[in-house]
Amino acid sequence: MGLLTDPAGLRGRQVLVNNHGLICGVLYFASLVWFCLLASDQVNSATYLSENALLPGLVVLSSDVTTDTKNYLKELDVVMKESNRIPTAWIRGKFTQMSIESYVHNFTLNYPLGRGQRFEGKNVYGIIRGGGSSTEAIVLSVPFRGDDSGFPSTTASLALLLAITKYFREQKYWAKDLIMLITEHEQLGMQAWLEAYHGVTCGTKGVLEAGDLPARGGSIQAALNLELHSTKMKYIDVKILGLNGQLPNLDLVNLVHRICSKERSRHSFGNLEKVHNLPPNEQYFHSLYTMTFMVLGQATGVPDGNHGLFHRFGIEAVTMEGHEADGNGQHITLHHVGRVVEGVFRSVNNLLERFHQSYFFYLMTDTDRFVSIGYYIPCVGMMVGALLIRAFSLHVSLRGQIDDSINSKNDYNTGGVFITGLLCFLTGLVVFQIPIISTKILPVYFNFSTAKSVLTGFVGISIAALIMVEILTKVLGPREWTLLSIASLLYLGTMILAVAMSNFSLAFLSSIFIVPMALLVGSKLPRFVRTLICLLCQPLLLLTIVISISTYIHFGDLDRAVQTLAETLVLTSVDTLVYGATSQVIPILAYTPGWLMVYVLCRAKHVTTAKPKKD
Amino acid sequence: MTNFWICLLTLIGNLVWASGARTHYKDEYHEELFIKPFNGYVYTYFQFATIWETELKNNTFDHCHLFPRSLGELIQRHSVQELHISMTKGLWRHETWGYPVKPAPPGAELWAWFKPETNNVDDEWRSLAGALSGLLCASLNFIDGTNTISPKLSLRPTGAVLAEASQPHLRYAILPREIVCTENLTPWKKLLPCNLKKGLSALLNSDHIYNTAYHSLGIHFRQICLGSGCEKVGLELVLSVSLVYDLAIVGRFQTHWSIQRLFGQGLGRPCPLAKSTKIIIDVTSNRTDNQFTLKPLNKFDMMTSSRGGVTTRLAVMDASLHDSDSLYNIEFEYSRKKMFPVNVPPFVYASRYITGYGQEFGGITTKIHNRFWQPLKVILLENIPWFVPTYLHTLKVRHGDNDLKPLRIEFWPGKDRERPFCLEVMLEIPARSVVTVSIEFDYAFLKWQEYPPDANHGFYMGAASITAVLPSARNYTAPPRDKTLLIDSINSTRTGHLIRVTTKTLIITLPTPDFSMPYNVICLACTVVALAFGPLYNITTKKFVIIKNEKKGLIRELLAKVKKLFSKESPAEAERPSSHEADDIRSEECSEGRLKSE
Repeated sequence: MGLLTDPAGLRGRQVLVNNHGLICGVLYFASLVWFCLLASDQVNSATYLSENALLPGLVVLSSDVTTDTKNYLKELDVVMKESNRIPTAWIRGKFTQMSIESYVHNFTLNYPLGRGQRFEGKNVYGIIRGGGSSTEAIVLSVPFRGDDSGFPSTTASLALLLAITKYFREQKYWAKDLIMLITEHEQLGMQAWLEAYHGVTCGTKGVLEAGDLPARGGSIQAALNLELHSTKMKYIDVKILGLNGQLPNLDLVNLVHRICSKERSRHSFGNLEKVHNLPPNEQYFHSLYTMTFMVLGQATGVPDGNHGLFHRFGIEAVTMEGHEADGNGQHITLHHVGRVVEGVFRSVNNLLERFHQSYFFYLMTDTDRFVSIGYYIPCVGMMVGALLIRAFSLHVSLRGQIDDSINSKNDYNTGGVFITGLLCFLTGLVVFQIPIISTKILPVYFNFSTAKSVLTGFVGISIAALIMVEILTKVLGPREWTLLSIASLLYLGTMILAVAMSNFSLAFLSSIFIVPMALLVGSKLPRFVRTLICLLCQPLLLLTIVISISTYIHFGDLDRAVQTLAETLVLTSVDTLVYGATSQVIPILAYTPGWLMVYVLCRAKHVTTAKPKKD
Repeated sequence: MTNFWICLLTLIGNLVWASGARTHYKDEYHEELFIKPFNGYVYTYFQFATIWETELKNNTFDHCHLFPRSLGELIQRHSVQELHISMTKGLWRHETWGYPVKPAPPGAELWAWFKPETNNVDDEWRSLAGALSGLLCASLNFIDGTNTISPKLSLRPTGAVLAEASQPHLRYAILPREIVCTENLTPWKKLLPCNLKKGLSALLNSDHIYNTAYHSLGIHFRQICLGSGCEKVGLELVLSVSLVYDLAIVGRFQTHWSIQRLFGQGLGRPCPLAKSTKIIIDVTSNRTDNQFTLKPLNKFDMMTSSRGGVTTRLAVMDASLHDSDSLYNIEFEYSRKKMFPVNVPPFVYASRYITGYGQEFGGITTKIHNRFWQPLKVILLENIPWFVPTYLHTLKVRHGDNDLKPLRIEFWPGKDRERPFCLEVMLEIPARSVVTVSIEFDYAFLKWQEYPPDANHGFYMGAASITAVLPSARNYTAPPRDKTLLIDSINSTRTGHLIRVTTKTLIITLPTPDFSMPYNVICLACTVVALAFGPLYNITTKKFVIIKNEKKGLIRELLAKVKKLFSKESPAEAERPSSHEADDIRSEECSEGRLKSE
């Protein structure tokens, strides 16, 4: 019991302080190794269904949508030639013929970074009223894509939606309302519909005007988004990544995979199908690749389908994307997908409670294997641990210095440290406003395009921040620098932990850069090397490097890198304003102040490294 | 043999009937079936009405004839003046179906007026609900103070009340989660004079009536005036069944339907105790929509009813004339195979939903539509459970982008675990417009025993209701308030038509703990607290000071040892040598009180 009070325990601190460099390094590399080990079948586990009420595959599926989908596809071919917009009248007509109430939802986007541009869109939805009193609902959605959308067509899924709706309408076992939703303008339409359904605005007010819905079902329990690119599909990819790295309950993901297997439809996660009976080492790299795909995708915080916008509202959702089959080999038809949709809907219809039993935090390593939060969180824990141990060592050595010079207590400028930290945070706030400020000023005076002005704004503020740092370095003395160093380490550690709570992937990937940077600043490396390391980790420069590499991989040259960078910056700004995404909030508001503090230390003269005081 | 018994029973029945029962009891019983087809659905409403010319006295129900005695005794014992019970599955879709004869929210609804002289109304109410729960096999016994309200504006006694009498006491409760099924039908049918054996009630076959989109059982008791000048009073008991069939499910998209298809059997002999047995079919839509032929047409009288500025065409059949044992059917044959008639919504209807996401703040929004060409006054009644704390200052009544000032607001704040929130808002809705009434709430934390089984299903919030008086009788089906029978509603224009629109039940997800992990939570939390509290307390309240280990004299050392013996310390600790290295701080020293507390 005296573990914490036993002063003898403090003896160990000297060991910790003396060897903290080694310990931090070991922790860092242990974290990386641990992460790689997660892909091993010895560590991750097979998925299972926690919620017994789902009873997947217990019911006899009887839908046959082959004829209906063919007819709808023929009509759609004609209808879609007339216009690239969503054919609201035609869809509503079909719903009315099935004796289903249908409605049109209008929404407007006031483009936040432009000069008052407005975009309008329409969603259509029909509601099959279940036998209950409309307290709960399930959503089946399809993004409508005209010929000019630039994305693969989803006409097949629209035909399937209509055909399965017709079948569902005649069944009497529905306990929940079924909402059949066709959205326009990709994620914008979906976001507008969800905001209108819940009567809220998630992004900045006045940007996305969601309006109101003429009718609603009950509280939505689950949603399935269909993107089928062809009537003949090679496999169905189940997409789960949501906005800000949120994931659907693992039960729903398992349910979809399991019913796909039962209906003999090839299915995949991250476009990688399960391969049975692989040799252990191949299986390991297969799992590692799948897991890395998921981590990279989740870290961006950008949903990979319309399902990703549901998660914020507590609605579990996945996208089923059907990839076109090449050649004449075995393929999946709309009939198979219809059966899968029926199976999923009947299972969810069976649910008494919301999805709550299974995991919300996990990493998929295969279609039927996953890593639970208990196994992956130590990766981040070790990263943060390294930072905290370093902060502790610095603290101990600082205390040693104070004890040595116990008479000169007052030369300890806490105020200066506080102001330096505050300036770093204020800079973060200013950087956050840059997209809006620069798109308001630069296009007027210099006639820049939106992308160009955002990029210019960010580059400008980065340079300004560097200059500010050069001034700051001359203000404080060595002890204050140590204090600031402790503050920056604690801050970065806390931030990484906080981000890991919602988005593990982002926290882990960012800590791979942040931790060595923060540790090496206080090392005995030459100053210019430290500055170089620090500068390489500058958020904007890091993004530039990442984008350059990915452009080089995709296109083989770097011509488009700058343009891609500018577009990425604009897109993340727009995502923040429209969807309330954190893809820009976290790097700017959370990491930039921390980076600035570390950079100040890097440039400062008289920085003491944590020299352990030897007894 | 069966025939013999039936004949014998009928004979005895007729004898009793003829031999003065009629004159002695002065009560009569009527059966009616109202059918209205609309927009792919068929509404069938059964009404079994008993009218008894007597006053409501303390011994009225000592001798009952047609009136069900089991119910009468409850009314007598609990000094009930008026009683309404409904048990409903599904939601009445006002927008497409118009107004029902008897409105009922999803779940069970109970409201009663107690006589003004009743002493302890709340006790009577609770024991009435308990007794009714036994009578109807429903969970009405869950009605208590936590879900009972007494609205001031929305509900009025529908029956006759003495002018000079003081105001009776009202209690109103909804159990939104109550599920209605055959177990409620079986006791309910025992209240009928003919049970389900003869007459229209024989159609209520539980195999078929639970296949419906909407299903509602009702019991309505009140005092009425008999005669135009109210010179005599009587008691009225209406037992009702409302069913809405979904033709897409029943008929697999075939428009043709019949009594046989809906109920699984044909109509037979009328109930011998019934004074009248009428089947009324609303055939107004036959003129414009997909035309249908009614079979057998010769049995129906075509009537035109002009009521409140609206003309309806009704086909009325006197089913009491059927005098053979054979069953007969009523069929509807449509001229076209499919029908998608354009729907005309009623003048006033409402929708209600929860706004917001997450589990911090939320809001309830009720949208009330007025499609009439004049402003209409409506009263909104919200019955909000105590675990959804609402704030009156967040009440917003919006008409488009403008605020609308309510005419009157009545608000009773709820109390945790004691009583619900009750909000009544009287509004004047401008012509042809939609008014949005919204109020915000917090999500409350419950004690862990208060969560029901399947806590993650969510918590129910009972339906709100909107009361209005319509100048026109469009989509209106109920008989006038001073009449009992549906057949009396033909050509019965009154100045206003009272409607009560019930909205849907809401479901909210309160912060729900993970009940599957009590072991982890309890063990982990206790261990952490136990491990951390003591040391943390010591660290925060004490200061470590290094004390030189001074040499003590022999006597002092002995004294210390004696002290140790008397203080209740373990001998092992007491016997430890106290000579340590000078600079070493050890925990034993802490326990010896050598650390200075600050």
